[in-house]
Amino acid sequence: MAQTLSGHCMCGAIGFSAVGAPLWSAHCHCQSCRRTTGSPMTSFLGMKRDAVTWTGRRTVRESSPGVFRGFCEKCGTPLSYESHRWPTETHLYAATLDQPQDYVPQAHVFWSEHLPWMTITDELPKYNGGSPEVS
Amino acid sequence: MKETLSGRCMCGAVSWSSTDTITRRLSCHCIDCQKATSSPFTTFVGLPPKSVEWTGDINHFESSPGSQRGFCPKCGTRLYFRSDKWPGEIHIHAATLDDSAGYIPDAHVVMESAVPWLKLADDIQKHHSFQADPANSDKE
Repeated sequence: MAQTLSGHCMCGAIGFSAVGAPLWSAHCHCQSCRRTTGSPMTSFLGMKRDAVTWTGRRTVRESSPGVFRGFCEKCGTPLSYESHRWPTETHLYAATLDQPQDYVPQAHVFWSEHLPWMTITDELPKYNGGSPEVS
Repeated sequence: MKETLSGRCMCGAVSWSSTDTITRRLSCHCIDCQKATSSPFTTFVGLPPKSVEWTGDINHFESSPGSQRGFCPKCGTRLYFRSDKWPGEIHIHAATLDDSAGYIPDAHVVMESAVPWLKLADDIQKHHSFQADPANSDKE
C-alpha cells in the first residue's frame, strides 16, 4: 500500500492522512463492530496513532470501558477505533480510504462471532479472538 | 409472511420494531453503502416504512438527493437507508437486529462495485446491479 494513506467521511467534514505502512490489516466479525457499522463485518487497518492526522473533529464515544469509537456527527460515518489495550494505535476502516482497492487484508479476527451465512474461502487465517498482529 | 422483528443501535438510545412482512433481504455492495458504513458491504432488512416503530432520536443524513441514511447521534450506529426511488420500503441495517444471526439475506446487489479483497463464497444469488423492484421480482 501507499506509504501515505488518506481518507474521509461520507460528507467530507472529517478527513485523515496517515504516514507509514499499516501495522496490520484484518477483517473483524465481532458483534460490536457489526452493530456500530450496521454491517455483517468490517475491515480495519492498524496505524500508529501519532502517524494519523485528522481534519475536522470526530465525535468519540466510549462503547465499552476503554474502547473509543469515532464517527462524524454530520453524516454518521464510522471513522476510528481506539482502545486502552492498544494505546499507540488507531484503527481505521478500509472503506473510508481514498484508495480502498489497495487494501490488503491479512486475517479474519473474532471469527468466532461471524454470521452463520457468511462463507469465505480466502486463505487468510481465521482467529477466534484478536490475531497475534492485533494483540 | 409477517414477522416480528426488533433491533437497536449500539448504545441503546434508538430502537425499532416491526410486525410486518419483509419486502427484501439484500446485501448491497454499492460505493455509497460502503462509504456510509465504512465496511466492504452491508446487509439490509426491507420493510414497509409505516410498519416500523422507532424510539429515540435519529439523525437523518441526506446522502444523495432523495436518499437518507439515518444514524444514532449518540453512538453513530448506522440505522437505515431510504430513497425516493423505493418509497414503499425502508431498508434497515440487519446488523441492528436483536437476532442478527438469525437473519439470512437472499441476494447480493451491485456486485459491479464489490471490493476486490473479500472472497465471499456463499451460494446467495448475486446481481451485477440492483435487484428488480419487489413488485416485479418474479420477472427477474
